[in-house]
Amino acid sequence: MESLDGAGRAGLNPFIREKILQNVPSPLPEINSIKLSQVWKIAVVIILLISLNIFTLIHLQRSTGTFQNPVKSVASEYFSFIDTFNF
Amino acid sequence: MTKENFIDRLKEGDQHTYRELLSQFSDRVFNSAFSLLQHQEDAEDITQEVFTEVFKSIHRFREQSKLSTWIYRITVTKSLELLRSHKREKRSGIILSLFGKEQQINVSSNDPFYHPGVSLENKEMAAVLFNAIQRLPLNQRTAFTLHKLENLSYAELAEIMGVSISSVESLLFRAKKKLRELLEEYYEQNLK
Repeated sequence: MESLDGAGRAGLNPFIREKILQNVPSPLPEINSIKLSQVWKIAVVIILLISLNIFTLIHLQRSTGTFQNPVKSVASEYFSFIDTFNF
Repeated sequence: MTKENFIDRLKEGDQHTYRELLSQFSDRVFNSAFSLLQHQEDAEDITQEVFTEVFKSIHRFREQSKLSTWIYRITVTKSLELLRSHKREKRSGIILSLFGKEQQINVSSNDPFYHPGVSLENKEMAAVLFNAIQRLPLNQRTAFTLHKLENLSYAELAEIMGVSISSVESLLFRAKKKLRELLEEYYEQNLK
């Protein structure tokens, strides 16, 4: 029963090792993946920007008292020195 | 290189790390398969299959066990699958021979198995022991062979075989008892 005590390892034939090495896969292509947390951050920023736009628009409309042409009122603020500016 | 780093590099498909893995594990895998199967060509085939599986599945390795344990587990699974298929072939061969049909069977022969790692003075005794090991149930055979020839601890064997440490102890106890009986039988018949 003790005849196997201290037995060494049987070594693999170098030819087989070479054969296995030939099957080593080539490196995987790098995948540019975006993490879910990053997607959420971008989504929050977009929602904030849209909200800010809506808020500004509503605020502007309230201050000018008209829903007709908010662009015109903004333009009149910035381009008040041009009398003939036509939208 | 740390273990985590090593596994990460394998997952990235780093060729150099694969070579290192092969140099670290090829003899361990081959020796385990060779000792279990007692057949050189079969053991070489299994070694190739094991590394193909490792290369293919490394990204699924969740590092819940040691890398060596995972590789040993693949080796044992594949070796036992082959042994079972040989047993099936042998059984169907016997049935076919009953009906007078011959079938070439690639099963363990009665030729003595000489393990190259065994010292010269123990070669003959080891061959008798290997012959007796073939007659053990597969789980006892696996536990005894890996414990003796790969020097694996009870804990490592338990993880590889998916059983508890006490089950490994019990498997080894029963394997040794059975082997003692078989060897006594052999020496009684041959030394008289």
